[in-house]
Amino acid sequence: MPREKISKIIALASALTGILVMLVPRYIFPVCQFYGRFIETKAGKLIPMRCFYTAQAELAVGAVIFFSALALIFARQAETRKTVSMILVLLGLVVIFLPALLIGVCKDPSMPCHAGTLPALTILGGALVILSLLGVYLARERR
Amino acid sequence: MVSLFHLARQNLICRIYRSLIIILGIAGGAGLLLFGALLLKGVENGLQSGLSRLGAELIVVPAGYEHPARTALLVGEPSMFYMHRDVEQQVAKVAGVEKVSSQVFVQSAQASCCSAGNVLLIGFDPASDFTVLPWARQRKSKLPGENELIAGAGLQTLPGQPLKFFNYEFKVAANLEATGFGFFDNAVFMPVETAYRMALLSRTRKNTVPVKLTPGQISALLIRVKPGVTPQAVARSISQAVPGVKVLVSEGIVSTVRQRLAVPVKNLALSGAVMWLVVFLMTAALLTMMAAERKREFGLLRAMGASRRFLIQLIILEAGILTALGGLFGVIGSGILIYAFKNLLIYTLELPFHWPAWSRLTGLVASILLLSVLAGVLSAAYPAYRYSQLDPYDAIRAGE
Repeated sequence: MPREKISKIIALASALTGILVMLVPRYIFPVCQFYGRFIETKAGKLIPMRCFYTAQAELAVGAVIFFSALALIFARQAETRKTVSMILVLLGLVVIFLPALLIGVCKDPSMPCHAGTLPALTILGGALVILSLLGVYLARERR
Repeated sequence: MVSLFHLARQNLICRIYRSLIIILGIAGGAGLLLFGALLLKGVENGLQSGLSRLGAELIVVPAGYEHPARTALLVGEPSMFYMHRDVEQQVAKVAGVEKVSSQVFVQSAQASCCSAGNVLLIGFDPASDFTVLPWARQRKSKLPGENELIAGAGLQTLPGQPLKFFNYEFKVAANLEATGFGFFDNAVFMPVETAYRMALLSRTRKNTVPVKLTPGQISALLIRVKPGVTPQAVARSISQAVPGVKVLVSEGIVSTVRQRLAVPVKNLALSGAVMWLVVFLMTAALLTMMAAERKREFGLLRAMGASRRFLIQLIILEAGILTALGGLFGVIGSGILIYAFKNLLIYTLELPFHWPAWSRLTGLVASILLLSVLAGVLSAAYPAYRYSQLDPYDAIRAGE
């Protein structure tokens, strides 16, 4: 019984992580664009910095995490829980790598996306990886 | 035979929600405590290492630029303000002044002409400098030549690495080690003549942001006062003798930072204390409740030959495990948070930050963990004593 209880707690925490991944780059630790910072082209046009695209991508990844975690709450079979948890491990890595490598954030450490959004997403992604690995372990077959 | 630890572990897993509440409560208290202590120690450390390397008791800047100068000094936030170099001679004549060295500040541009934008470029006078060159000589580092510079730790460069500012090609001669003081960590140092040349060329080169700095202009004067004279007295004399300047006293900067830090640290300490009290009472109540529900279990254990001491040990061990785990999660979480959001703290609070030494950090973490376990053991003392005194028969009947 405790194993199922812990799995449910992990699934709930993962769903919360998904919501936070969506909210962090826009409301909690907003990226540069939400502070009115843009790149100005020679023609005088304002274009978003790359951290904005990271925020957009994290919105989609966060939604996928949230719905996968919801599926995990209602999943009954251990095999299903194991598979969904493995997917969540990968999604956690995506949350970390999007701002760090794949799309990136602004280079300057004093920029809001570098000082706030990047570490917040790294922590959330790391927490999701740890939680989901624990979920995979708990969903193993009983001997 | 079932071991004491196995029994305690099973009990905690079976009451997972209550266990989690206690762990989270203790983690919050321990985390707040470590966060406050680290913030205080880190800022003190950053201030001490930075100001001792600066080696100047007074800093003279153009009047009206005290705040940007202070921010440039503490967090390395670049800003450009200039005064005429004649001020240097006027200040050197003031009684009590031992050494004067001028510096110019330039902010790198967020454009393709610079390797990194928003970096504080500092031009120092090699003839009078007592800040950068003594450090380089002491470390036997390469002194910056004509097109070379010394880079702060925050730029994460390697010696010999090329860097470009305003389309002027530099090579990194040496790297300063991290101090937590933005003036050193987020800046690059070059001879002042190189800075003037870079500014001059920026105005003639294509696709280059022009630098409005002309030879004969300086941003700040670093001053060392003679032994036996108070920096405040010399600061007053300079203010009277030289018009149009403002004198910043290093000690004053320290006390300003301490004042700025006082409110957040006081709030953190207060929240930490309230949280500890609430957590302590909550843990005591939950442990008493958990023990009350387990009267029958305790009665059965006693009937099977468990001693009173065994029951006391069991309850205290359970509380110890919960609070130790809570303390551990709290310090790990708090450590991760402060490490990850260090830059955010530095730039929002405009404070320098440098990690305390490992020995001090270990001592801090160990004392918080000890405090957590102590809180657990103390809160479990009453239920442990009370329920160990029950008669086995009465306990089994009461639990039915």
